[in-house]
Amino acid sequence: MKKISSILLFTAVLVASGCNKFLDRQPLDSASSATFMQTEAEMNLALNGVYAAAFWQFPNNTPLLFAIESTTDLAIKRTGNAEDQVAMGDGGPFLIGNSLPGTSWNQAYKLVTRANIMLDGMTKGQGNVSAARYARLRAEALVLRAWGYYHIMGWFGDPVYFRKPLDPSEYETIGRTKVATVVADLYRDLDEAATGFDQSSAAPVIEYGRVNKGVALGLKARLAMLIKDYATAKAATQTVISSNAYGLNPRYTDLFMLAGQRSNVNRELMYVQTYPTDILNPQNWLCVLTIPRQVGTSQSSHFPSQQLVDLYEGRDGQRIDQSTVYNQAAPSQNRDRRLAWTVYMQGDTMVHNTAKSPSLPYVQPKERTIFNIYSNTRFKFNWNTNQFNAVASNIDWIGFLASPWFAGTTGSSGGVGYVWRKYVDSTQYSWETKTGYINMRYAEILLTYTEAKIELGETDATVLSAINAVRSRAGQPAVTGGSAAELRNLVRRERAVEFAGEGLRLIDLRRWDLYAVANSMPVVGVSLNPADPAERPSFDANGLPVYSAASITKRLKTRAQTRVNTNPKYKLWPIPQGEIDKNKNITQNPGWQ
Amino acid sequence: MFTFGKLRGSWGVLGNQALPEIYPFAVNFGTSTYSNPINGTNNYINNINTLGYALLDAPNPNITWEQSEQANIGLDLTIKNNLTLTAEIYRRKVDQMLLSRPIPNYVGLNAPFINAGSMENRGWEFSANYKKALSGKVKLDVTAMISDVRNKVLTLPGVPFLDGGSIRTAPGQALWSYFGYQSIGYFADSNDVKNSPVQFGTAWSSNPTVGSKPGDVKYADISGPNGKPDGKVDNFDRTFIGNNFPRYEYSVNLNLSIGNLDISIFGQGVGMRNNYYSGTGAVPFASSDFAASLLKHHKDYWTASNPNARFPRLLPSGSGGNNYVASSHWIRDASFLRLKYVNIAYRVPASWFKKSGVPLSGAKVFISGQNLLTLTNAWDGFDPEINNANAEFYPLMRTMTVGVNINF
Repeated sequence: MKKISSILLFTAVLVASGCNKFLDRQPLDSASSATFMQTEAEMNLALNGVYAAAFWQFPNNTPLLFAIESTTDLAIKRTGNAEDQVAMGDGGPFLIGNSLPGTSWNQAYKLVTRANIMLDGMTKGQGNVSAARYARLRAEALVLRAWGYYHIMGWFGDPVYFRKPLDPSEYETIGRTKVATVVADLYRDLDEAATGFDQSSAAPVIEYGRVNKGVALGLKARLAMLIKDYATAKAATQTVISSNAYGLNPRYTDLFMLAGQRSNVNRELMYVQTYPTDILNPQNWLCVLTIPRQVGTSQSSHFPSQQLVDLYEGRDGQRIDQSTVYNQAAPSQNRDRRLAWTVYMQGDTMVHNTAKSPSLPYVQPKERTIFNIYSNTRFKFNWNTNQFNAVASNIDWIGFLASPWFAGTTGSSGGVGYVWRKYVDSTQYSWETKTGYINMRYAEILLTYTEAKIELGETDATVLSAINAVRSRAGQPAVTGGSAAELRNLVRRERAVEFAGEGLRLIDLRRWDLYAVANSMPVVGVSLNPADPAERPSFDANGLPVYSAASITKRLKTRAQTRVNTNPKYKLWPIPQGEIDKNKNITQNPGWQ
Repeated sequence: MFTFGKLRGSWGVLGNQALPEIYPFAVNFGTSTYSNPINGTNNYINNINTLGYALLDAPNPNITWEQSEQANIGLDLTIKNNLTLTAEIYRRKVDQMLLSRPIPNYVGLNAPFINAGSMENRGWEFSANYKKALSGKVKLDVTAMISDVRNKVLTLPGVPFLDGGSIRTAPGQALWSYFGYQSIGYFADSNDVKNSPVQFGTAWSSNPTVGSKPGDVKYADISGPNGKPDGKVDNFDRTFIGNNFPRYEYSVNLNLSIGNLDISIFGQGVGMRNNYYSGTGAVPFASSDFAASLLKHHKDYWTASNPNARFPRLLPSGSGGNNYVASSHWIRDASFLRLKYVNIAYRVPASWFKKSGVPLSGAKVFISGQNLLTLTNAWDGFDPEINNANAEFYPLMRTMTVGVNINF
């Protein structure tokens, strides 16, 4: 009996120890969350993982913020695609399940989560890293987390807000937090980050693709503009300007080509979403997605809008309804040079690189083509004779019913007679393009400063010099003054034409409360008959173009689309339904329930 | 009469921790590759692909073993030393089932494994063995078995179901049951289409390529947004339409020896089972990795004069998609009885070698066959033992072997 009881006791001990955490051993062959980030090398690995989550793309290697630009008045995506559905509002099937808000939500929150995990986990190794190094690592993670929350708030309003890794018990209980509360927290984070970059004596642009002090302050200004806290926006941008650490690149077009980005003259580029050149993927397909189909292999699916084209001033510095040099029969002539640097229009000579090897006479492998939509002819540069040849059959001819403007080779309508030039980089093979997508550049700091000062009623010489610095690079005449309303419209127009395609427009329109106005219109385009051009648009009190019925009848409007975003619900995107299904404490945005 | 009898019972709880992740309570930092548009963990600063690490899976510090509680009662009886009977009923209940549970996307991590819900298997087994020397030369040994088990998910706390598209796990149903539309035959003619609930939002159209046509599979309107039939066949009309757990599995194993002749036969079968047909097997002209063609059984397709055909009207693969949505139409009977193995052997008597002077100590001549016969309703060439058949499998082989076994 004694023997039996001792066996029983032994068994009981064994069973009891099975419940002990002694058995929950940490793995020794991989980076366990309990032990990772003890050293600087491990913190660097974790920070790389945070940057990876700030790499935002939409399908077809499209930078996400460029895709979102196609939901605004400045741009167009092929019909039926997610961006087009969003842009259409009530005029199209923009449902809660649309993939664009869903993908944006997922990518931004992955960034937030990775930054939270890094900021929380790196405290374990604080003693093993120099104070300066630790401050910079932390600063970068703070800026990247704020980058995520800024976009979540711009897209969805009040975020599901958390600053530490969530405990599993919180996954389905956490609620939404007011934008103002979050912005106040992020101000402190970004101030700490700015100090952290100083402590670590970081260069103004540390590396191509890395965030820095200027981005911390620029992002603080963006957050401030989002909640109309103009004083904070002014102070943050003023700090960047007076640091003299950044400037404007005298060559605007260099900003959108890989070589120009790498040399980054005057450090205009502050934060860029970069791509690897040592491996094939991922890529930036903005060439593939924008080159017109009359050129070699190309997949044009994103297009500039008529509204964008008409926002560019005449070269006399006047809006086209007031310009004396604007001619509607030759709309690409005598315009703000940024129009030609941003959009290819009828008669423009385009240079593209859509092949890897030559196929003479037209593919060198560069191709030169005169953009033509008005006849069934392509004008291709013959590299043997150094002359342009007229080549029969032009898929982009607007008289051709299968043209991209009508049905398109993929069966869906394309643009309205314009194609993007910005980000077309003929020094790279378009199907393997590695040009970075700009997240923030110094021109934005100048224009945000200008805007904040105008809203504060402080229209002084610094305001004019800031906006004129941006204008003069494009050769536009200096602004010398004007009423507050005139200057407000001017700086808003300046942001549209300077940053078209750079992903700022959606949140800009929302904070100006103009999304409904700007993005409710028939989708129209070039004049159908260049010999009998449509009349120029008039402009409303907000400085947005308005097209008369007579003008519309003379324009390409083959998409038969009318965007209607007047319903107040379009001020925000709907939160993905799956999130609400899983967490009853998350309320849907107004109008989307 | 009873030479042996035993009544037995047992109860026990076992743990199971079979998971792809070894340390689910403290998930590790790892790497992942970018797959447009899903982020990886590397960054590309200065255009250089640089290794990064990130926490990818949500941890679950409270994860514990899956518990399987088993109880059984059995009876063993031997009657007159010849007949042995064994009967058993059992219940196996799995608690704290280890499942990957979807979490909100704002968590920014992959779904964790959690202990969710419970399911049970209830079953019984019966076997009988009869062993007797019928005479000095004839010996018989027969074993027959039959068993059944039913699987049912009992609880899934926190989620109404786990969605796998055309399969679904929900309380009260077997694990990963088939989930789809209830088919009610074919549309007989255009009036049938006009008078039936609108299928998938497209009413009768005179356009030959739009909407349902005579010969298409007709689906039942069983529900709607308000839980009542609404005159439309849409997502709300999907329901549980079966599962592929086999029921009533049985086998017979017979060994008979008559003098120097040994005969053994093994057959087995399943009394009741569903199987879901898809792909090349179900769709005429479908092709996954070989040239599209028509299988012989596809020729039994619907025409006005063949209204009870096995297949809907003949269409090119890719059109008539509504005929191939997950529905009870493609759930077919996969019960079978199969003669798995027959072996007939003759042992040449040792006395014969002595008598004839052949310098051998023994020899055996045999003939055997595998998979000689299958009785089933499954389509020609389909193996009823393969789940979710799509006809893109290597057919079951029938093997015949003749041999001589010689000992020196």
